[in-house]
Amino acid sequence: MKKKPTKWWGTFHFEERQQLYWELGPLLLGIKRLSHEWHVANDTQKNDLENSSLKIASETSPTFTKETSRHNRYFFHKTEPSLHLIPTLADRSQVSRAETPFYLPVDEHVTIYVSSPVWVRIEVGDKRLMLDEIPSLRLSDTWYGPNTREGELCYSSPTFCRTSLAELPFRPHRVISPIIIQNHSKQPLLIEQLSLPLPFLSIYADMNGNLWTEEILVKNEPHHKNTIRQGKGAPSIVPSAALVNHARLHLKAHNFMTLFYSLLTD
Amino acid sequence: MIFPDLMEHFYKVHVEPIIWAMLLMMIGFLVARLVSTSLVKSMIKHLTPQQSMLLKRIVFYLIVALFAASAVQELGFQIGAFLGAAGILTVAIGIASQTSMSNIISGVFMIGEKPFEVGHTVRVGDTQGEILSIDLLSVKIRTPDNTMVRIPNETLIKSSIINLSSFPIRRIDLKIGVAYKEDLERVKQVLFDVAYKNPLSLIEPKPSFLILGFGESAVDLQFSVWGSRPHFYELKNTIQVEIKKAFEEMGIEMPFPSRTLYTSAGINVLPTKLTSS
Repeated sequence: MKKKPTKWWGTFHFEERQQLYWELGPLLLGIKRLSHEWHVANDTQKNDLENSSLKIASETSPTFTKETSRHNRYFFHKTEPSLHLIPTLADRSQVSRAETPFYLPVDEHVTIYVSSPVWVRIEVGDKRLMLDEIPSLRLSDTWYGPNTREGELCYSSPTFCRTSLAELPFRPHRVISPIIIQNHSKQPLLIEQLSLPLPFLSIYADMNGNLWTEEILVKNEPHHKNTIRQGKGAPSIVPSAALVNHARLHLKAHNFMTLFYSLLTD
Repeated sequence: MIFPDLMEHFYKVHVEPIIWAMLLMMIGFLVARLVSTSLVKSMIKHLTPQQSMLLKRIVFYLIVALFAASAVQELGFQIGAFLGAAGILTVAIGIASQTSMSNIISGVFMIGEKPFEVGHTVRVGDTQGEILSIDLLSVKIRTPDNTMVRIPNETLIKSSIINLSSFPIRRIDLKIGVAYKEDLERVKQVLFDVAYKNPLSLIEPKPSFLILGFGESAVDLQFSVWGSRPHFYELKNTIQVEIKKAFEEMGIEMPFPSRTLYTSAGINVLPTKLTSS
C-alpha cells in the first residue's frame, strides 16, 4: 500500500442545521440535518477512475456541478442527531476486464487483486432508517452471458490485475478482492476478464482502513471445469480485518457453485 | 283467516326461494371474490401477472357458477334439464357468434403460446403499448399517450407481433451522416469514445460501426450501441446529444441535404445573392 487511508465510515453526530461534506474519490457528498428533514446531495461529475481524494466530515463545501449533482430531501416527524455511513458493495456483479490479458501456465497459481468502487449507504437515527445508497463511481453497464438472451446485466471496470500487494494504490473508495487462481488443467489458461459477484461478498476493514472482501479461490480443472470457493472471513493477507458490512445476498452452497462457475472466461 | 294462509303459502312457494336464490348469489359473489383474491395473493411469488390474472378469473367464475347452480335449484328448476337446455342454447349461440368463438379459441392458443405477458411492451401494426390484460376475447393495450386499445385475439393471432420486452438488452441503431471531407477512421474513434463514456451504453456486446454508403449530401453511417431495456430511451437520448456535442467539439461536419443548381449552359452555377431580409 502506498499510503495509509483513513476510516471515512461510521457514526457521525449532526446538530440541527449542521451540514457536513465528504470527498471520497470521485464522489462528493453533502449532508444537512434540519429539525424535520435530512438533505443529501451527491455528485460524481468527474467520474474519474484514478481520483483518490479523501475528505471526511468537512465543513467546507466542495463545488457541486448543477448538471450532474443530485439533491434529495427526506422528511421525518423529528430528526435524530446520529447519521451512519456504511461501505457497501454494488448491487450487481462486476466484470473486470484485464488491461492486458494474461496466461497462467499449467500447474501454476497466482493471487491477483481486483478492486471495485464502494457504495455509500446512508442511515439515520437509532432505528437506522436507510436514506440512500450512492455509488462512489458510476461504472458502465455491460452484459455478461453466452448470448444476448441469456446472461446478466453487470457493471464493467478495467483492471490491472495486480499481483503484488506493494503495487496496490491507495484509493479509499475501492474495495479489494483477492482472487487465487490455480490452473490444474493440461493447457495454459488465458484470462481476459473476471466476473466478481459483488452482491454475495462482505466488506472487511484492516487496521489502516483499507477495505477488503473475502478471498475467492478458483481452480481450473481439466475439461473446462472450474471449482470455486469463497473464503470465510477476512482474507488471509489481512487476517485481523474486521467485518464492516455483510453481503447483500446469501447463497446456498449449490447456488454458489453455479454462480461462480462463470467467474473466469478464456 | 284465509288471507294470511294464502299470504304465507305465496311467501313460502314464491318469495322465499327467490330470496334464498338472491342470497346465495350474493354470498357466491362475495366468496368468489374473497377466495380468488386470497388465492392469487398467496401464490403471487410463483406466478406471472398473466397467470395470476387467469387463475383469479377461473376461480372466480367457477365459484360463481357453483353458487348459481345452487340458486337455480333453489328456485325449483331441475339442474339436469336446465343444463340440457343450456347445451342446446350454447350450440345455437355458438353458431350465431362465430366471431366470438374464433376469438375465444385464438385466445386459448395465444395463452398457450405465450408470445407476450401482462406488462410487456409490444408493437402490433401501428399500435405500440403495454399489455394491460389478456382476456378470452381480446388483448388490451395501453399506448404511451395513455389510450386503451382493444385488439381482438383473432386479429392478434394473424398478425406479426413485435415484443419489445422479451430480452433484457436491446440495440439502438443510429443513422449518422458526415461530410465527405471527414476522416472516417477519426469519426469512428470519436463515436466509440462517446459510447465508452456513456455508462448506459453496454461495454459488451460492443458497439458497431457500419458505412451504409455514399449518400447525396453525406457519407451515411450506422452506429449501433446496446443498452439495457429499462434505460433504452434514456440511452437513445443521451448518446445522440453526446455524439452531436463531440462532433461539434472535434469539428466533424454533419451536413444537411443540399443541392447545387446549374444553368442549362451546363457548366455555370446559377448565380444567387444573399439579402438581409
